[in-house]
Amino acid sequence: MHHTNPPKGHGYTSCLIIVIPLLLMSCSPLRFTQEFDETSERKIVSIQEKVSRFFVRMERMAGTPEGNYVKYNDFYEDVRTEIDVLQARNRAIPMSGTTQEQLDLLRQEVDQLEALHRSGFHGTDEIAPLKSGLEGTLVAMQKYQFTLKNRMK
Amino acid sequence: MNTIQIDADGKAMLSDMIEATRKIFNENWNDVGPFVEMESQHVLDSLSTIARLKQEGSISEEQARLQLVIQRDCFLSLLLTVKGIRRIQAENAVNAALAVIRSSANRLLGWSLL
Repeated sequence: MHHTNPPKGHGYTSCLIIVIPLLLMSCSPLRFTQEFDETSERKIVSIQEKVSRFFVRMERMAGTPEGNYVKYNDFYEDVRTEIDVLQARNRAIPMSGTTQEQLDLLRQEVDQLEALHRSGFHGTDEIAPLKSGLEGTLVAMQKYQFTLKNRMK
Repeated sequence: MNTIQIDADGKAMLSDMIEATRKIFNENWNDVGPFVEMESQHVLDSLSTIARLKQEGSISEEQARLQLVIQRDCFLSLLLTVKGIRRIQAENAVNAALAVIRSSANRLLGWSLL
């Protein structure tokens, strides 16, 4: 009786057909963007609250002794510390380049805000463009975090 | 008054800014276009306010420049939220948008802000 042998390698190919999809299913997906980090999101909201509170006060106090730069050293120190802590955290998170760049920009804006404040605000009119600039940056940062969060779902 | 002239020329300046950035973003334009339009308008509005403050003597030239840098950084940060946009590309786009209005803005203001 004549037996026909299966073509050489047939069993090996069948095995690969079953094993490869299983392996792919079990592996984490290959990521090209950072994973969502809840702590980063929370810290950004915290910075936003501080910046908003500062501008609400400045909208009333700019140009008065109560709006004087020397009374806001703590604000600048506090916000800058939060940004630096968040920056250090994000340096340890893979693929977090966009968040790091946004933090760099925010840090620069806080430095510029401080330079302007130190040179003296004459009135509340000066506050509007500054407020829209810094809050715009913080909204952009939050928007990016929401995008990362939604990608997780 | 210079600020009123900026407002009057705003539409042409806005469209110049959009055109300048469109060339840089090319295939990403559909995603990034709405942000560019919104932020370009925002920069022009701020420019108008900054110019008025300078004209009234509320701020110095240096303070006006710092104010504008903040608007520029905000524009950059917003562009970075769009998937596929890199920092260098965003910077090129913002620089192109500002470059294209530089001469008309400075001429209308009567001094070099940009």
